[in-house]
Amino acid sequence: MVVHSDLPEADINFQGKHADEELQFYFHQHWIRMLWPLTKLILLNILVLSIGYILFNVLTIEDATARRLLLTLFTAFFLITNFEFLVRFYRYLLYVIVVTDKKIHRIKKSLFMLDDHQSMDLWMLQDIFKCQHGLIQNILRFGTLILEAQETIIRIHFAPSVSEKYERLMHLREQGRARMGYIGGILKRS
Amino acid sequence: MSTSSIIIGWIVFILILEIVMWDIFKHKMTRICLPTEMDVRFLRWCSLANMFLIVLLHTIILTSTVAFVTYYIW
Repeated sequence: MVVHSDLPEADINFQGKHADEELQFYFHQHWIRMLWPLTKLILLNILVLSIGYILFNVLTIEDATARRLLLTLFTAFFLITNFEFLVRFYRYLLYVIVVTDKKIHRIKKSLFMLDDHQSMDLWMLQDIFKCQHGLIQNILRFGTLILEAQETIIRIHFAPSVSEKYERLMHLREQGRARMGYIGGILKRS
Repeated sequence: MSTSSIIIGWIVFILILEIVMWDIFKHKMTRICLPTEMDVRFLRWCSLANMFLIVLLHTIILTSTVAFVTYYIW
């Protein structure tokens, strides 16, 4: 099922969701994750086109076989760089963190090699850390969230609006604990 | 081999790769939430339909560049 943005969030389904779970929010990594792949793509394309222009237009290779061989190599390199970027872009979109009222799901897929799904109960979270190091992370408001349960640690790098996500997670954890009968960290329900 | 057959060969190659990759992406994206997080402006327009348009544009750019360069240099 493909999800549309005009649906109410609670009605959205996703892989691994239980029937009684209600979606709270979900997010992808910050767009800065794609900055270097995009810069690399642009630089490599400029490089290929410049070298190609110099070789084929300025120096002009007389031998037809050598010219065609070089052109094939340049075309292949151009296509490899472009498809590599496309694969990275798809992989970026296929990495989703979904937070429901009961669990945190980390869905991480790639086009060919990867299909991971890690879930963690919210009420079981012992510690939630937020790390924002450096000027760029603070200006662009992204950072790392570290979620620790008994023997599991989930690190969510490049989380956008990390402070807001941190506060929402803390709030949801307390709600989850209250539902399980823990108030102020102490089990009140017999 | 003639220039036109080389160009057609490259175009077919690009089309096959784009279609296969899009198909796998669409299949894997199914049952995953699409990015609609409102505080991330970059992702606001990232619906599956818009993604398809981007892929279409990418295909057109690649095929036209390869066809143009091959036509003039081959």
